[in-house]
Amino acid sequence: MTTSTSVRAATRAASERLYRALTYPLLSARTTALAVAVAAATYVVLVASADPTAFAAAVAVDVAVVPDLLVASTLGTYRAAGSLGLALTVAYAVLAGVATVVVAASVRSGAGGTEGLLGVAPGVLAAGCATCGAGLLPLLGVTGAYALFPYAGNLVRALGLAAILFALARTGDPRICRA
Amino acid sequence: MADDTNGFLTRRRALAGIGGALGLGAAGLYLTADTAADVEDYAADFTVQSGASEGLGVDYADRPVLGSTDADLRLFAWSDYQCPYCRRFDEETLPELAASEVADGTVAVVFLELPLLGERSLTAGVVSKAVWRTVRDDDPNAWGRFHRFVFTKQGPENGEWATESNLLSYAGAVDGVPGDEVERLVANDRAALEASVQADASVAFDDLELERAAPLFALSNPNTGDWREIRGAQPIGTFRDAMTALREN
Repeated sequence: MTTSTSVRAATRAASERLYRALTYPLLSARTTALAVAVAAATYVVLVASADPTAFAAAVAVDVAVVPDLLVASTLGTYRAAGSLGLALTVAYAVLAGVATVVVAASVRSGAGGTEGLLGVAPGVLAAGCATCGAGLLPLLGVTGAYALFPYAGNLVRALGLAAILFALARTGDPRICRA
Repeated sequence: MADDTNGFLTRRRALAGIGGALGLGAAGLYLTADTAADVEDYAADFTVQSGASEGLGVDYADRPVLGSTDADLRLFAWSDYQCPYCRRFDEETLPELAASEVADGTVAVVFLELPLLGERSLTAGVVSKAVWRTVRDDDPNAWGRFHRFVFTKQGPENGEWATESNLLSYAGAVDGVPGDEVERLVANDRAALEASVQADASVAFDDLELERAAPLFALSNPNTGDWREIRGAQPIGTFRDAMTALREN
């Protein structure tokens, strides 16, 4: 087998594993619901954390304002990072839901769970950093935090997404034991 | 009245306490009991086959076959006794397959070892091969009982449950398996048994170039030569869909 053939075979295998990991949550209503719930929660955390103090203060006064706040936060993310930044944030939230279900399935079975967790965790942290980090910095007195990240945080978001995709491509279908 | 009520409650509590203690005791006995006798046969019989399969050309020698090789399809199934997903397939999918598609002659399942998760996976494979060699002529279904029993004993990867002595004790506890004979075979013929286990893995990884994972399956239609790979503890629907596709092609 030549080098290019083996590279093509490895790429094809990784693509198939990624496809199986991405579609795994859709195989049952329970895993789909978990993935959607985690994705929604992640999205709320990501967009709300752009200005966590204002979000927390408003929620403390009246929980009914949460939908309006989410719309405002979404618009805030769009204005700060553009449509690409918003798309990356949504994609990150969806992948966080998928990764949670895949890792939970691995941990539950005891098959390669630690590896799965360690594989996905860096991507989750990296991508989360893009928005949560920007949101947390104001708490420390740093204003205009998005400006501190290259391309308004989009580069870090994209790297984080790539990290999660890489981790999922390694894990594949979680119903498999690996050496 | 109050005294009577108190007395009634006290007796009830005492009865509940005794009942609870008996329940816990029974649970403890269940957990610690050697339950090999409770392991049931699959709803189909094992058969001893020789020669190579049509299509994939996998040799049947030294490999347990559940069902008849007159079946329309073959499901070559590789598993590692240490793999939780192999256990899941064995507990959730295989019994249903055996009761339906194997029993009605749609498919025969050929069992192969896949020592993927460490030295004790190899040891389990060696003991499994030894059990098959000792029971195949007189009581081939005993291998199925051993196979299921070992999965019920599955614990942490490369843990104490999978030492050679424990695996031999599981074999000896299974109805129809001559434990002493298995022990002698493992002691005297280990190299050949290991070679047989490695040959199973070689079919998967070298001949068919399947991914290094477990459980693995190659579903084959011997008449057309067509086959497809199935990876992991997939639900029975996945196997049925593949069977339908292979029979229609």
